[in-house]
Amino acid sequence: MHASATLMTVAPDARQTFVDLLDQHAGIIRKVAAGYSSSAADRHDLMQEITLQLWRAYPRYSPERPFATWMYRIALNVAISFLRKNTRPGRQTVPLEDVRTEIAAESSGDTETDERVALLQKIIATLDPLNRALLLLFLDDHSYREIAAILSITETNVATKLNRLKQRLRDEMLKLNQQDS
Amino acid sequence: MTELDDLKSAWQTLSRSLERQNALSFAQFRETKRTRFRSGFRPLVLGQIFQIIAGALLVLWGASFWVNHLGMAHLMIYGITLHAYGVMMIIIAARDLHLIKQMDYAAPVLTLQKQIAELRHWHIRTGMWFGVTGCFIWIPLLLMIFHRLGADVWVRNPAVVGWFVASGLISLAVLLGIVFWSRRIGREKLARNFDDSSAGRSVSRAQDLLDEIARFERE
Repeated sequence: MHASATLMTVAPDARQTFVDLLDQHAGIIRKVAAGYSSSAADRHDLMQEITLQLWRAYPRYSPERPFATWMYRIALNVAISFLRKNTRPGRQTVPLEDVRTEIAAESSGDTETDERVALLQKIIATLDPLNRALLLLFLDDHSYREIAAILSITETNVATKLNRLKQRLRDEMLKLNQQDS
Repeated sequence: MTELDDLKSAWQTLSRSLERQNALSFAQFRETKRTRFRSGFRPLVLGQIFQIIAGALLVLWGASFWVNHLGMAHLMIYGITLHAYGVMMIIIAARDLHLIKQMDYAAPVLTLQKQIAELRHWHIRTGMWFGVTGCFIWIPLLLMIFHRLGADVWVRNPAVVGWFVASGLISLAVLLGIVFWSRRIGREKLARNFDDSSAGRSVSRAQDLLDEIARFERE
């Protein structure tokens, strides 16, 4: 279905509400897009794709549900499909030393901060699409309950996976620090 | 935990930087809607609708053919074969459409990703089934066309039908041969192109995806 067809079916008030909610939570789209793309062009495409899917799904959104959770689900689902569609299966996770990510952030003016951001992007690129979702939610300080609801796994499973992921992050960071020194 | 706190603070820095670089506004979104809807399953949906129409035409033709030739076994076999093939096309396309309709991007991540993987798996398996049956389905179709033109090939020269069947078997052998040959070590690129050219992804790749999701759920 063409997006404009859906656009016509939504009342102007609802359209404005959607725009307001979108502006309020636009950070989610940006961050998910940054987590699942390796170039500025891909990031831009993915942001558009996510926005489009949000708009298409909006008529079925129930206000009783938290908007951010609903938005995260859609953004992550779109991003995972985008990554799978645009990357060959063997290239969805890349060894740290092979990561060639175009840095999404502009320079902060502080070398240490820039290095940390670059390192974070490299680490994200080494993860498979599902663990990437877990890491993004963790970095965004979501509770185990929220993460479980977004991913549809149990809270215990979230805790186990996050512990493993944190250990892996520490190992990767250690490896990189050793390479640097 | 310091390293992880460092990562969280890097994430915040990245977020702020992205906010400055990628202003997302409704104006930009309005630009988006002018572009063609690329994602999702639109091409697949159109393909399935086309398949249902083609299947219905085959059912109509096949059914009217065998009903009009009751008592003539070979002609009935042509018609029934085509009829059955048309029904198969419709059922497979209808199931595809049903699976697509169930998809909801607002569903929890693992739920939707599993549905997508299952759809892909089903789609590829049926694609292979079409490949195999396609090696033979042209035979009754061609014989029905000949009959329509006034030539009952089976009655006039049954050996020709034998040749048709032999050709079908050779096509199948060539098809299977290419599939197995392309999957041999050292021909990964060819196998990839072969997979990408028809059904999209191979069965094993779709299965890998299902396994990956199951692993994520389990571990």
